[in-house]
Amino acid sequence: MPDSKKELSPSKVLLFGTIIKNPILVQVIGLCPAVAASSSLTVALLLSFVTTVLLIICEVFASAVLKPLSSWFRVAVYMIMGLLFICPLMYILDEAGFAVVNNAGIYLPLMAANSVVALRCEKFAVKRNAFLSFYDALATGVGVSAVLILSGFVRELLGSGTVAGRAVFDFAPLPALTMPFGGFVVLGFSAAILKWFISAFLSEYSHDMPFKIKKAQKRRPQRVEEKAARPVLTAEKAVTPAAIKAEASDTAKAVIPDIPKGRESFADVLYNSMSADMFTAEDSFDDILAGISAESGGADNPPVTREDFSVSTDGNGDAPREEAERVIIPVDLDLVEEQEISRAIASGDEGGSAD
Amino acid sequence: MSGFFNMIQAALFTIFVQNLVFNGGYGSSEAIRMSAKPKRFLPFSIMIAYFSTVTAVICRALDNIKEIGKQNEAVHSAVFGVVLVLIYIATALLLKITLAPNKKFLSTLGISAVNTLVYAVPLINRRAGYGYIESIGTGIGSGFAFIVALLLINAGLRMLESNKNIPRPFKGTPAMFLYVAMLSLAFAGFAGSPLFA
Repeated sequence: MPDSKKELSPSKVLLFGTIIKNPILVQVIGLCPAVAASSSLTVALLLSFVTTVLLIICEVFASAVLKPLSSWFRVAVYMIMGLLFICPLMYILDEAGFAVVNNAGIYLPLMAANSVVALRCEKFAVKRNAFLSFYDALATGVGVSAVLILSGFVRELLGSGTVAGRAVFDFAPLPALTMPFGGFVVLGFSAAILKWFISAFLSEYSHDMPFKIKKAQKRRPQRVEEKAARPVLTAEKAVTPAAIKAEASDTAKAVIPDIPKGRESFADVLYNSMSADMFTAEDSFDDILAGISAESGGADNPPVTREDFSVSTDGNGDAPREEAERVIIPVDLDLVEEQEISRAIASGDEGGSAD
Repeated sequence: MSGFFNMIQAALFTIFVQNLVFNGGYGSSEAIRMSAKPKRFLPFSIMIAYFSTVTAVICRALDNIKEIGKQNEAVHSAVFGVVLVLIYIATALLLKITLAPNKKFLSTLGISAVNTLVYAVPLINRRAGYGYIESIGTGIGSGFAFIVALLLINAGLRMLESNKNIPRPFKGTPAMFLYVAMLSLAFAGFAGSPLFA
Protein backbone atom coordinates (compact mmCIF):
# COMPACT_ATOMS: atom_id res chain seq x y z
CA MET A 1 0.00 0.00 0.00
CA PRO A 2 1.16 3.54 -0.52
CA ASP A 3 3.06 4.71 2.50
CA SER A 4 2.15 8.36 2.49
CA LYS A 5 -1.34 9.18 3.68
CA LYS A 6 -1.40 12.29 1.47
CA GLU A 7 -1.08 10.26 -1.71
CA LEU A 8 -3.98 7.96 -0.90
CA SER A 9 -6.95 7.91 -3.23
CA PRO A 10 -9.40 5.08 -3.89
CA SER A 11 -7.95 4.38 -7.33
CA LYS A 12 -4.42 4.26 -5.98
CA VAL A 13 -5.47 1.99 -3.12
CA LEU A 14 -7.08 -0.35 -5.67
CA LEU A 15 -3.98 -0.34 -7.90
CA PHE A 16 -1.65 -1.05 -5.01
CA GLY A 17 -3.86 -3.69 -3.38
CA THR A 18 -4.39 -5.73 -6.50
CA ILE A 19 -1.13 -5.41 -8.44
CA ILE A 20 1.75 -3.38 -7.03
CA LYS A 21 1.54 -4.81 -3.53
CA ASN A 22 -0.37 -7.99 -4.24
CA PRO A 23 -0.88 -9.63 -0.83
CA ILE A 24 0.15 -13.12 -1.90
CA LEU A 25 2.73 -12.58 -4.63
CA VAL A 26 4.47 -9.52 -3.19
CA GLN A 27 3.65 -9.29 0.50
CA VAL A 28 3.76 -13.10 0.99
CA ILE A 29 0.72 -13.25 3.27
CA GLY A 30 -2.26 -15.61 3.20
CA LEU A 31 -0.36 -18.38 1.45
CA CYS A 32 -2.17 -21.29 3.09
CA PRO A 33 -5.28 -21.27 0.88
CA ALA A 34 -3.26 -20.36 -2.22
CA VAL A 35 -0.78 -23.17 -1.73
CA ALA A 36 -2.84 -26.01 -0.39
CA ALA A 37 -6.53 -25.45 -1.00
CA SER A 38 -6.64 -23.94 -4.47
CA SER A 39 -6.10 -27.20 -6.30
CA SER A 40 -9.52 -26.90 -7.92
CA LEU A 41 -11.32 -23.96 -9.45
CA THR A 42 -14.56 -24.33 -7.46
CA VAL A 43 -12.73 -24.40 -4.13
CA ALA A 44 -10.66 -21.42 -5.24
CA LEU A 45 -13.86 -19.51 -6.09
CA LEU A 46 -15.38 -20.31 -2.70
CA LEU A 47 -12.23 -19.28 -0.83
CA SER A 48 -11.97 -16.08 -2.91
CA PHE A 49 -15.53 -15.12 -2.02
CA VAL A 50 -14.96 -15.86 1.68
CA THR A 51 -11.67 -13.93 1.78
CA THR A 52 -13.06 -10.85 0.04
CA VAL A 53 -16.23 -10.61 2.14
CA LEU A 54 -14.32 -11.30 5.36
CA LEU A 55 -11.76 -8.63 4.50
CA ILE A 56 -14.46 -6.06 3.83
CA ILE A 57 -16.32 -6.84 7.06
CA CYS A 58 -13.20 -6.91 9.23
CA GLU A 59 -11.45 -3.85 7.74
CA VAL A 60 -14.52 -1.62 7.86
CA PHE A 61 -15.36 -2.78 11.38
CA ALA A 62 -11.75 -2.35 12.52
CA SER A 63 -11.59 1.12 11.05
CA ALA A 64 -14.92 2.22 12.49
CA VAL A 65 -15.03 0.51 15.88
CA LEU A 66 -11.85 -1.25 16.93
CA LYS A 67 -9.38 1.64 16.92
CA PRO A 68 -9.55 2.26 20.70
CA LEU A 69 -8.68 -1.36 21.52
CA SER A 70 -5.14 -2.63 22.02
CA SER A 71 -3.48 -4.23 19.04
CA TRP A 72 -3.02 -7.62 20.74
CA PHE A 73 -6.73 -7.79 21.57
CA ARG A 74 -7.84 -6.76 18.09
CA VAL A 75 -6.12 -9.84 16.64
CA ALA A 76 -8.46 -12.02 18.71
CA VAL A 77 -11.46 -9.99 17.57
CA TYR A 78 -10.57 -10.54 13.90
CA MET A 79 -10.55 -14.29 14.42
CA ILE A 80 -13.88 -14.23 16.26
CA MET A 81 -15.36 -12.19 13.40
CA GLY A 82 -13.99 -14.70 10.93
CA LEU A 83 -15.57 -17.57 12.85
CA LEU A 84 -18.87 -15.71 13.07
CA PHE A 85 -18.93 -15.35 9.29
CA ILE A 86 -17.42 -18.64 8.13
CA CYS A 87 -18.93 -21.23 10.47
CA PRO A 88 -22.60 -20.34 9.79
CA LEU A 89 -21.80 -20.16 6.05
CA MET A 90 -20.16 -23.57 6.28
CA TYR A 91 -23.16 -24.93 8.17
CA ILE A 92 -25.65 -23.60 5.62
CA LEU A 93 -23.68 -24.84 2.60
CA ASP A 94 -23.18 -28.22 4.25
CA GLU A 95 -26.87 -28.57 5.07
CA ALA A 96 -27.78 -27.50 1.51
CA GLY A 97 -25.60 -30.32 0.20
CA PHE A 98 -22.89 -28.35 -1.60
CA ALA A 99 -19.96 -30.72 -2.14
CA VAL A 100 -17.54 -27.81 -2.36
CA VAL A 101 -17.54 -27.53 1.44
CA ASN A 102 -16.23 -31.08 1.73
CA ASN A 103 -13.71 -30.44 -1.05
CA ALA A 104 -12.41 -27.39 0.78
CA GLY A 105 -11.95 -29.53 3.90
CA ILE A 106 -10.47 -27.79 6.91
CA TYR A 107 -9.17 -24.95 4.75
CA LEU A 108 -12.55 -23.20 4.83
CA PRO A 109 -12.64 -22.70 8.63
CA LEU A 110 -8.92 -21.95 8.54
CA MET A 111 -9.74 -18.77 6.64
CA ALA A 112 -10.81 -17.31 10.00
CA ALA A 113 -7.15 -17.38 11.05
CA ASN A 114 -5.85 -16.15 7.70
CA SER A 115 -2.99 -13.71 8.11
CA VAL A 116 -4.27 -11.49 5.27
CA VAL A 117 -7.19 -10.28 7.35
CA ALA A 118 -5.26 -9.53 10.53
CA LEU A 119 -2.34 -7.89 8.72
CA ARG A 120 -4.42 -5.65 6.46
CA CYS A 121 -6.59 -4.59 9.38
CA GLU A 122 -3.58 -3.77 11.53
CA LYS A 123 -1.44 -2.17 8.84
CA PHE A 124 -4.15 -0.21 7.08
CA ALA A 125 -7.66 -0.19 8.52
CA VAL A 126 -6.94 0.92 12.08
CA LYS A 127 -4.91 3.86 10.76
CA ARG A 128 -7.40 5.11 8.18
CA ASN A 129 -11.09 5.88 7.78
CA ALA A 130 -13.76 3.33 6.92
CA PHE A 131 -14.11 4.60 3.34
CA LEU A 132 -10.47 3.96 2.42
CA SER A 133 -10.49 0.75 4.42
CA PHE A 134 -13.36 -0.51 2.31
CA TYR A 135 -11.36 0.16 -0.86
CA ASP A 136 -8.30 -1.49 0.61
CA ALA A 137 -10.32 -4.56 1.61
CA LEU A 138 -11.83 -4.71 -1.86
CA ALA A 139 -8.45 -4.32 -3.53
CA THR A 140 -6.78 -6.88 -1.30
CA GLY A 141 -9.70 -9.26 -1.83
CA VAL A 142 -9.47 -8.87 -5.60
CA GLY A 143 -5.69 -9.35 -5.43
CA VAL A 144 -6.03 -12.53 -3.38
CA SER A 145 -8.93 -13.80 -5.50
CA ALA A 146 -7.04 -13.28 -8.76
CA VAL A 147 -4.14 -15.40 -7.52
CA LEU A 148 -6.40 -18.07 -6.01
CA ILE A 149 -8.51 -18.40 -9.15
CA LEU A 150 -5.48 -18.46 -11.46
CA SER A 151 -3.80 -21.03 -9.25
CA GLY A 152 -6.97 -23.11 -9.01
CA PHE A 153 -7.50 -23.05 -12.76
CA VAL A 154 -3.91 -23.97 -13.70
CA ARG A 155 -3.53 -26.63 -11.03
CA GLU A 156 -6.85 -28.30 -11.74
CA LEU A 157 -6.28 -28.23 -15.49
CA LEU A 158 -2.75 -29.63 -15.38
CA GLY A 159 -3.06 -31.65 -12.19
CA SER A 160 -6.42 -33.33 -12.79
CA GLY A 161 -7.13 -32.60 -16.44
CA THR A 162 -10.44 -30.89 -15.58
CA VAL A 163 -11.87 -27.39 -15.16
CA ALA A 164 -14.55 -26.94 -12.49
CA GLY A 165 -15.03 -30.70 -12.50
CA ARG A 166 -15.53 -31.01 -16.27
CA ALA A 167 -13.03 -33.14 -18.14
CA VAL A 168 -10.75 -31.29 -20.54
CA PHE A 169 -8.03 -33.89 -21.00
CA ASP A 170 -8.38 -37.67 -20.89
CA PHE A 171 -5.43 -37.79 -18.57
CA ALA A 172 -3.81 -35.70 -15.86
CA PRO A 173 -0.65 -34.14 -17.35
CA LEU A 174 1.03 -33.14 -14.06
CA PRO A 175 -0.70 -34.73 -11.05
CA ALA A 176 1.92 -33.35 -8.66
CA LEU A 177 0.52 -29.86 -9.22
CA THR A 178 -2.47 -30.68 -7.02
CA MET A 179 -0.10 -30.96 -4.05
CA PRO A 180 1.23 -27.94 -2.10
CA PHE A 181 4.38 -28.27 -4.19
CA GLY A 182 2.32 -27.31 -7.24
CA GLY A 183 0.88 -24.35 -5.39
CA PHE A 184 4.34 -22.96 -4.63
CA VAL A 185 5.47 -23.51 -8.23
CA VAL A 186 2.44 -21.65 -9.61
CA LEU A 187 3.00 -18.84 -7.11
CA GLY A 188 6.68 -18.60 -8.05
CA PHE A 189 5.99 -18.23 -11.75
CA SER A 190 3.03 -15.90 -11.12
CA ALA A 191 5.23 -13.66 -8.95
CA ALA A 192 7.90 -13.56 -11.67
CA ILE A 193 5.31 -12.65 -14.31
CA LEU A 194 3.86 -9.94 -12.05
CA LYS A 195 7.32 -8.52 -11.45
CA TRP A 196 8.03 -8.41 -15.17
CA PHE A 197 4.60 -6.81 -15.82
CA ILE A 198 5.20 -4.08 -13.24
CA SER A 199 8.67 -3.29 -14.56
CA ALA A 200 7.41 -3.24 -18.16
CA PHE A 201 4.12 -1.33 -17.82
CA LEU A 202 4.17 0.32 -14.41
CA SER A 203 7.85 1.16 -14.27
CA GLU A 204 7.31 4.03 -11.79
CA TYR A 205 6.24 1.41 -9.23
CA SER A 206 8.88 -1.14 -10.17
CA HIS A 207 10.70 -2.72 -7.28
CA ASP A 208 12.98 -5.64 -6.74
CA MET A 209 10.71 -7.66 -4.43
CA PRO A 210 13.57 -7.98 -2.00
CA PHE A 211 13.58 -10.73 0.56
CA LYS A 212 16.56 -9.87 2.70
CA ILE A 213 17.64 -11.64 5.84
CA LYS A 214 17.71 -9.28 8.79
CA LYS A 215 21.14 -9.35 10.32
CA ALA A 216 21.82 -8.49 13.92
CA GLN A 217 23.17 -4.95 14.18
CA LYS A 218 26.75 -4.76 15.32
CA ARG A 219 27.46 -2.53 18.26
CA ARG A 220 29.32 0.62 17.36
CA PRO A 221 32.69 0.63 19.09
CA GLN A 222 32.67 3.23 21.84
CA ARG A 223 34.99 6.12 21.27
CA VAL A 224 37.60 7.07 23.81
CA GLU A 225 36.28 10.65 24.07
CA GLU A 226 32.76 9.40 24.77
CA LYS A 227 34.04 7.21 27.56
CA ALA A 228 36.05 10.07 29.05
CA ALA A 229 33.06 12.43 28.93
CA ARG A 230 30.86 10.13 31.00
CA PRO A 231 30.65 10.71 34.74
CA VAL A 232 32.59 7.96 36.47
CA LEU A 233 31.13 6.25 39.49
CA THR A 234 33.84 6.20 42.09
CA ALA A 235 33.83 4.43 45.41
CA GLU A 236 32.27 7.58 46.84
CA LYS A 237 29.53 7.46 44.20
CA ALA A 238 28.83 10.28 41.82
CA VAL A 239 25.74 12.16 42.90
CA THR A 240 23.88 12.43 39.63
CA PRO A 241 20.20 11.66 39.00
CA ALA A 242 21.24 8.42 37.28
CA ALA A 243 23.41 7.37 40.20
CA ILE A 244 20.64 8.14 42.67
CA LYS A 245 18.20 6.12 40.61
CA ALA A 246 20.64 3.22 40.43
CA GLU A 247 21.15 3.35 44.17
CA ALA A 248 17.42 3.48 44.83
CA SER A 249 16.94 0.60 42.42
CA ASP A 250 19.51 -1.52 44.24
CA THR A 251 17.85 -0.75 47.55
CA ALA A 252 14.44 -1.63 46.18
CA LYS A 253 15.74 -4.84 44.65
CA ALA A 254 17.12 -5.87 48.00
CA VAL A 255 13.65 -5.42 49.50
CA ILE A 256 11.64 -6.71 46.54
CA PRO A 257 13.80 -9.20 44.64
CA ASP A 258 11.54 -9.74 41.61
CA ILE A 259 10.74 -6.48 39.95
CA PRO A 260 8.84 -7.16 36.72
CA LYS A 261 10.75 -6.01 33.65
CA GLY A 262 9.40 -3.14 31.61
CA ARG A 263 7.14 -1.81 34.34
CA GLU A 264 7.68 1.16 36.56
CA SER A 265 9.57 -0.49 39.34
CA PHE A 266 9.41 0.29 43.02
CA ALA A 267 12.75 2.02 42.58
CA ASP A 268 11.29 4.30 39.92
CA VAL A 269 8.34 5.21 42.11
CA LEU A 270 10.64 5.80 45.06
CA TYR A 271 13.02 7.96 43.07
CA ASN A 272 10.27 9.99 41.44
CA SER A 273 8.48 10.64 44.72
CA MET A 274 11.71 11.50 46.49
CA SER A 275 12.94 13.96 43.95
CA ALA A 276 9.49 15.52 43.59
CA ASP A 277 8.88 15.94 47.30
CA MET A 278 12.29 16.90 48.51
CA PHE A 279 13.87 19.26 46.04
CA THR A 280 13.06 21.27 43.02
CA ALA A 281 15.30 21.61 40.03
CA GLU A 282 16.10 25.17 41.07
CA ASP A 283 17.58 24.20 44.42
CA SER A 284 21.33 24.44 44.23
CA PHE A 285 23.64 22.40 46.35
CA ASP A 286 24.57 25.35 48.54
CA ASP A 287 20.90 26.24 49.14
CA ILE A 288 20.27 22.72 50.35
CA LEU A 289 23.31 22.73 52.60
CA ALA A 290 22.29 26.08 54.05
CA GLY A 291 18.82 24.75 54.76
CA ILE A 292 20.13 21.66 56.53
CA SER A 293 22.57 23.72 58.57
CA ALA A 294 19.86 26.16 59.61
CA GLU A 295 17.66 23.34 60.85
CA SER A 296 20.22 21.13 62.56
CA GLY A 297 22.94 23.66 63.30
CA GLY A 298 23.43 25.06 66.71
CA ALA A 299 26.17 25.62 69.19
CA ASP A 300 26.82 21.88 69.45
CA ASN A 301 26.56 20.99 65.74
CA PRO A 302 28.97 22.29 63.13
CA PRO A 303 27.44 23.49 59.83
CA VAL A 304 26.97 20.88 57.07
CA THR A 305 29.50 21.23 54.27
CA ARG A 306 30.10 19.69 50.85
CA GLU A 307 32.63 17.28 52.29
CA ASP A 308 29.93 15.62 54.38
CA PHE A 309 28.33 14.30 51.20
CA SER A 310 31.51 13.14 49.45
CA VAL A 311 30.46 14.45 46.07
CA SER A 312 32.51 13.28 43.11
CA THR A 313 31.46 13.22 39.49
CA ASP A 314 34.61 12.43 37.66
CA GLY A 315 37.44 10.04 38.15
CA ASN A 316 39.83 12.64 36.82
CA GLY A 317 39.14 14.97 39.70
CA ASP A 318 37.37 17.61 37.62
CA ALA A 319 34.91 20.00 39.22
CA PRO A 320 31.38 18.63 39.71
CA ARG A 321 29.11 19.22 36.76
CA GLU A 322 26.28 21.72 36.95
CA GLU A 323 23.67 18.96 36.49
CA ALA A 324 25.16 17.01 39.33
CA GLU A 325 24.91 19.99 41.59
CA ARG A 326 21.29 20.76 40.92
CA VAL A 327 19.74 17.56 42.25
CA ILE A 328 21.46 16.24 45.31
CA ILE A 329 20.09 13.48 47.44
CA PRO A 330 22.22 11.83 50.11
CA VAL A 331 21.67 8.30 48.91
CA ASP A 332 23.25 6.56 51.85
CA LEU A 333 20.62 7.83 54.26
CA ASP A 334 17.48 5.89 54.89
CA LEU A 335 14.08 7.19 53.97
CA VAL A 336 13.20 8.54 57.43
CA GLU A 337 16.31 10.65 57.52
CA GLU A 338 15.66 11.87 54.02
CA GLN A 339 12.17 12.97 54.97
CA GLU A 340 13.59 14.82 57.95
CA ILE A 341 16.07 16.54 55.70
CA SER A 342 13.28 17.37 53.31
CA ARG A 343 11.31 19.07 56.05
CA ALA A 344 14.46 20.82 57.20
CA ILE A 345 15.08 22.16 53.74
CA ALA A 346 11.51 23.34 53.42
CA SER A 347 11.65 25.22 56.69
CA GLY A 348 15.13 26.52 55.87
CA ASP A 349 13.95 27.92 52.55
CA GLU A 350 11.10 29.65 54.24
CA GLY A 351 13.49 31.12 56.75
CA GLY A 352 15.85 32.26 54.03
CA SER A 353 13.15 34.03 52.11
CA ALA A 354 11.92 35.70 55.26
CA ASP A 355 15.39 37.04 55.86
CA MET B 1 5.86 -46.04 28.63
CA SER B 2 4.01 -46.91 25.45
CA GLY B 3 2.09 -43.63 25.81
CA PHE B 4 5.36 -41.73 25.77
CA PHE B 5 6.50 -43.52 22.63
CA ASN B 6 3.14 -42.86 20.99
CA MET B 7 3.63 -39.18 21.72
CA ILE B 8 7.17 -39.18 20.28
CA GLN B 9 5.95 -41.09 17.26
CA ALA B 10 3.17 -38.58 16.62
CA ALA B 11 5.62 -35.70 17.06
CA LEU B 12 8.18 -37.20 14.65
CA PHE B 13 5.44 -37.93 12.14
CA THR B 14 4.31 -34.30 12.34
CA ILE B 15 7.84 -32.96 11.96
CA PHE B 16 9.30 -35.08 9.20
CA VAL B 17 6.61 -37.01 7.37
CA GLN B 18 3.55 -34.80 7.59
CA ASN B 19 5.46 -31.53 7.97
CA LEU B 20 2.51 -29.21 8.31
CA VAL B 21 4.26 -26.24 6.68
CA PHE B 22 5.54 -27.99 3.55
CA ASN B 23 3.01 -30.78 3.12
CA GLY B 24 -0.08 -28.89 4.21
CA GLY B 25 0.85 -25.29 3.57
CA TYR B 26 -0.31 -24.40 7.11
CA GLY B 27 1.43 -21.35 8.48
CA SER B 28 3.56 -21.12 5.34
CA SER B 29 3.31 -17.34 5.09
CA GLU B 30 4.43 -16.98 8.73
CA ALA B 31 7.28 -19.44 8.09
CA ILE B 32 8.51 -17.61 5.00
CA ARG B 33 8.22 -14.16 6.54
CA MET B 34 9.80 -15.25 9.81
CA SER B 35 12.66 -17.09 8.09
CA ALA B 36 14.29 -13.74 7.37
CA LYS B 37 14.45 -12.98 11.10
CA PRO B 38 16.77 -15.58 12.66
CA LYS B 39 16.70 -13.97 16.10
CA ARG B 40 13.00 -14.75 16.47
CA PHE B 41 13.14 -18.41 15.35
CA LEU B 42 13.21 -20.01 18.76
CA PRO B 43 10.72 -17.83 20.67
CA PHE B 44 8.24 -17.95 17.82
CA SER B 45 8.50 -21.73 17.49
CA ILE B 46 8.11 -22.19 21.23
CA MET B 47 4.99 -20.04 21.17
CA ILE B 48 3.60 -22.10 18.26
CA ALA B 49 4.31 -25.34 20.12
CA TYR B 50 2.69 -23.97 23.27
CA PHE B 51 -0.49 -22.76 21.59
CA SER B 52 -0.78 -25.90 19.43
CA THR B 53 -0.37 -28.27 22.35
CA VAL B 54 -2.68 -26.49 24.77
CA THR B 55 -5.36 -25.96 22.11
CA ALA B 56 -5.10 -29.56 20.91
CA VAL B 57 -5.47 -31.00 24.41
CA ILE B 58 -8.40 -28.77 25.39
CA CYS B 59 -10.16 -29.41 22.10
CA ARG B 60 -9.62 -33.14 22.55
CA ALA B 61 -11.22 -32.89 25.99
CA LEU B 62 -14.17 -30.95 24.56
CA ASP B 63 -14.63 -33.60 21.89
CA ASN B 64 -15.37 -36.09 24.67
CA ILE B 65 -18.45 -34.11 25.64
CA LYS B 66 -21.38 -35.80 23.92
CA GLU B 67 -23.18 -32.60 22.95
CA ILE B 68 -20.10 -31.31 21.16
CA GLY B 69 -18.81 -34.63 19.85
CA LYS B 70 -21.94 -35.38 17.85
CA GLN B 71 -22.03 -31.96 16.13
CA ASN B 72 -20.96 -31.43 12.53
CA GLU B 73 -17.74 -29.91 11.19
CA ALA B 74 -18.95 -26.30 11.28
CA VAL B 75 -19.77 -26.41 14.98
CA HIS B 76 -16.49 -28.11 15.79
CA SER B 77 -14.57 -25.49 13.85
CA ALA B 78 -16.35 -22.72 15.73
CA VAL B 79 -15.74 -24.32 19.14
CA PHE B 80 -12.06 -25.00 18.41
CA GLY B 81 -11.58 -21.48 17.11
CA VAL B 82 -13.13 -19.95 20.21
CA VAL B 83 -10.92 -22.18 22.39
CA LEU B 84 -7.83 -20.94 20.56
CA VAL B 85 -8.89 -17.31 20.97
CA LEU B 86 -9.58 -17.78 24.67
CA ILE B 87 -6.22 -19.45 25.23
CA TYR B 88 -4.52 -16.59 23.41
CA ILE B 89 -6.31 -13.92 25.43
CA ALA B 90 -5.63 -15.74 28.72
CA THR B 91 -1.95 -16.13 27.87
CA ALA B 92 -1.58 -12.52 26.77
CA LEU B 93 -3.30 -11.26 29.93
CA LEU B 94 -1.18 -13.49 32.15
CA LEU B 95 2.00 -12.26 30.48
CA LYS B 96 0.85 -8.65 30.71
CA ILE B 97 0.29 -8.98 34.44
CA THR B 98 3.43 -10.91 35.29
CA LEU B 99 6.08 -9.79 32.79
CA ALA B 100 4.63 -6.62 31.29
CA PRO B 101 5.98 -7.42 27.82
CA ASN B 102 6.43 -4.73 25.20
CA LYS B 103 4.19 -4.21 22.18
CA LYS B 104 6.49 -6.10 19.83
CA PHE B 105 6.37 -9.20 21.99
CA LEU B 106 2.58 -9.08 22.19
CA SER B 107 2.39 -8.63 18.44
CA THR B 108 4.58 -11.71 17.95
CA LEU B 109 2.41 -13.59 20.42
CA GLY B 110 -0.67 -12.67 18.39
CA ILE B 111 0.86 -13.86 15.12
CA SER B 112 2.05 -17.10 16.70
CA ALA B 113 -1.39 -17.84 18.19
CA VAL B 114 -3.78 -16.76 15.47
CA ASN B 115 -2.48 -18.54 12.40
CA THR B 116 -3.53 -21.44 10.25
CA LEU B 117 -0.89 -23.81 11.64
CA VAL B 118 -2.05 -23.62 15.26
CA TYR B 119 -5.72 -23.67 14.33
CA ALA B 120 -5.21 -26.64 12.00
CA VAL B 121 -3.70 -28.90 14.68
CA PRO B 122 -6.93 -29.67 16.64
CA LEU B 123 -8.90 -29.99 13.40
CA ILE B 124 -6.38 -32.47 11.99
CA ASN B 125 -6.27 -34.37 15.29
CA ARG B 126 -10.03 -34.75 15.23
CA ARG B 127 -10.04 -36.03 11.65
CA ALA B 128 -7.22 -38.45 12.45
CA GLY B 129 -9.01 -39.64 15.60
CA TYR B 130 -6.02 -38.92 17.84
CA GLY B 131 -6.22 -39.37 21.61
CA TYR B 132 -4.71 -37.11 24.28
CA ILE B 133 -1.17 -38.45 23.97
CA GLU B 134 -1.06 -38.13 20.19
CA SER B 135 -2.62 -34.66 20.45
CA ILE B 136 0.23 -33.55 22.68
CA GLY B 137 2.67 -35.14 20.25
CA THR B 138 1.25 -33.30 17.25
CA GLY B 139 1.14 -30.05 19.23
CA ILE B 140 4.81 -30.24 20.17
CA GLY B 141 5.64 -31.61 16.74
CA SER B 142 4.03 -28.65 15.01
CA GLY B 143 6.40 -26.32 16.87
CA PHE B 144 9.40 -28.39 15.83
CA ALA B 145 8.05 -28.73 12.29
CA PHE B 146 7.86 -24.97 12.15
CA ILE B 147 11.45 -24.50 13.29
CA VAL B 148 12.63 -27.11 10.76
CA ALA B 149 10.81 -25.14 8.09
CA LEU B 150 12.35 -21.88 9.30
CA LEU B 151 15.88 -23.28 9.25
CA LEU B 152 15.51 -24.81 5.81
CA ILE B 153 13.96 -21.69 4.29
CA ASN B 154 16.55 -19.46 5.96
CA ALA B 155 19.38 -21.58 4.54
CA GLY B 156 17.82 -21.28 1.09
CA LEU B 157 17.38 -17.53 1.44
CA ARG B 158 21.08 -17.13 2.16
CA MET B 159 21.98 -19.08 -0.98
CA LEU B 160 19.47 -17.18 -3.09
CA GLU B 161 20.77 -13.87 -1.79
CA SER B 162 24.33 -14.66 -2.86
CA ASN B 163 23.38 -16.24 -6.20
CA LYS B 164 24.07 -13.82 -9.06
CA ASN B 165 22.81 -16.14 -11.82
CA ILE B 166 19.11 -15.84 -11.06
CA PRO B 167 17.24 -14.06 -13.91
CA ARG B 168 16.01 -10.61 -12.86
CA PRO B 169 12.24 -11.35 -12.86
CA PHE B 170 12.84 -14.31 -10.57
CA LYS B 171 15.04 -12.50 -8.07
CA GLY B 172 13.62 -12.16 -4.56
CA THR B 173 10.18 -13.51 -3.78
CA PRO B 174 9.64 -15.61 -6.98
CA ALA B 175 12.90 -17.52 -6.45
CA MET B 176 12.01 -18.02 -2.82
CA PHE B 177 8.62 -19.50 -3.78
CA LEU B 178 10.30 -21.94 -6.15
CA TYR B 179 12.84 -22.90 -3.50
CA VAL B 180 10.06 -23.63 -1.00
CA ALA B 181 8.34 -25.66 -3.74
CA MET B 182 11.42 -27.89 -3.94
CA LEU B 183 11.36 -28.37 -0.17
CA SER B 184 7.67 -29.19 -0.32
CA LEU B 185 8.37 -31.74 -3.04
CA ALA B 186 11.07 -33.33 -0.88
CA PHE B 187 8.74 -33.66 2.09
CA ALA B 188 6.01 -35.04 -0.17
CA GLY B 189 8.54 -37.72 -1.09
CA PHE B 190 9.01 -38.50 2.61
CA ALA B 191 5.26 -38.85 3.00
CA GLY B 192 5.18 -41.26 0.04
CA SER B 193 2.88 -39.15 -2.11
CA PRO B 194 2.61 -40.36 -5.72
CA LEU B 195 3.99 -37.53 -7.84
CA PHE B 196 3.58 -38.81 -11.36
CA ALA B 197 1.03 -41.60 -11.04
